[in-house]
Amino acid sequence: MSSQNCRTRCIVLKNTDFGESDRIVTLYSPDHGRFTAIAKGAKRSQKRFVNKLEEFSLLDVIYRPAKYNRLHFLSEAELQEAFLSLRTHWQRYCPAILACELVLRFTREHDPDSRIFTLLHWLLHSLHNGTAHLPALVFFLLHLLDACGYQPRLKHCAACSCLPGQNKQLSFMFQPGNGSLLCPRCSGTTDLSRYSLSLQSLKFLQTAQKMTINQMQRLQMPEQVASECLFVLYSYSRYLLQCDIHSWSFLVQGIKKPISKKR
Amino acid sequence: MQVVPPPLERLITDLTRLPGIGQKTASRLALYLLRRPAAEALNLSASLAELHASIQLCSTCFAFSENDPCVICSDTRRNNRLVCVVEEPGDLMVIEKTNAFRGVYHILHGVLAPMEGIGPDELKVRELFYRAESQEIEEVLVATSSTVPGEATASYLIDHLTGMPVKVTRLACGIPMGMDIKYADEHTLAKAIETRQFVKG
Repeated sequence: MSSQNCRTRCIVLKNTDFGESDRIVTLYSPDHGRFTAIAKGAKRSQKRFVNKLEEFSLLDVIYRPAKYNRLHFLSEAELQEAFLSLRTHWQRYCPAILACELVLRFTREHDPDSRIFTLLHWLLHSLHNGTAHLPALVFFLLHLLDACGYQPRLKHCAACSCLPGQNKQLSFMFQPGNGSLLCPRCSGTTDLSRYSLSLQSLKFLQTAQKMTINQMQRLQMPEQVASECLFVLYSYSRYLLQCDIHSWSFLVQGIKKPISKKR
Repeated sequence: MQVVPPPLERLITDLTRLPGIGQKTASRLALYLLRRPAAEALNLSASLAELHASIQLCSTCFAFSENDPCVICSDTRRNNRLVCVVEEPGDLMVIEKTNAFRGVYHILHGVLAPMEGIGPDELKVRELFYRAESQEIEEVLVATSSTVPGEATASYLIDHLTGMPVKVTRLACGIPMGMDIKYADEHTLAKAIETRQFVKG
């Protein structure tokens, strides 16, 4: 191995065929952040890369950093975890691919954050093990926003500072434009009814915000609450990114049919 | 100063629109055509012009064909109760080369790729379900690739076809012919063991 070569642990976010036999892979690593590499001969090789560069795979890779362009050269890849059930159960595939798209869109190249890697790895692992996908996705998105510096402010009304439940309000309105809450009195004539959060959903979000990955298993979030929270967080993410999140519409189809237990 | 004659530049620009062809390859191809006899270039242009005029999608299986229904769908010797679902027309050609399949096909024209905004509505999925429900089909063989999008598409199709009056099968997954098992990856080998075949006893 040349001294120039780098070794890192990473998750495959996306892969694209390039030419007749090459593949371009986008990876997320805790040490190097998001980076893109070319795997020469990956489509034809029966030994080096076969079945390794697929989406969601956790790999140990050796690559030669790029000199003039942004594409690194992938020399070797060792498969650590494949999360096979994410491909064979389309209801698990939907949230997993949405998570990868969110990491792709929210991160910049070579801007590492080990929290994002841990969060993505945890989500893929949980989905693979049959954890209810909506609560897991809510937790992932909430903490991804936090890691990117866009933590939603859910403690009190942004205008009058009243606390949820203080004046017996049954729901609060979320403002995707600035990531904060408005109580029904302060929202006035502004039409934010689409982004309404029930008191129960708000309490779940506040609890989830304080929790660590290890504590997440304790959070028993009903599907209805998770759907409401997820829609609000999606709307906020869409506002921040100023573009469509393509995998969302496919996930919505999956929500209509609840996930089955691991077969 | 115009160094490259405009017709040659136009051809280079058009060729760069093809997949896998960059500026250098396009220039090399255009110059090659220019050096060859004019009749060869005319033949090529005639073939290109004829392409869209004479080829259409078969209304049953969605393969590219000169006639509707296509040669395979109209062949009475084939078993039209057995439908093989493939991703692309190229996959149909590969399966036909094996001479092992005597049923008919259904081409999806892609796989689910949520990140690119390709969902079931962008593929010929609804047409497959309609075919499975309304025609006398006994078996649907899902022959999408063993990649992540291919497997996810297969899972989606199998999930929806399960409630219909058809037998659903999936292309087997295992070690390739002539391969030393030492070089097989652990997941393929595990799948091969899981789906092992009964031989005798």
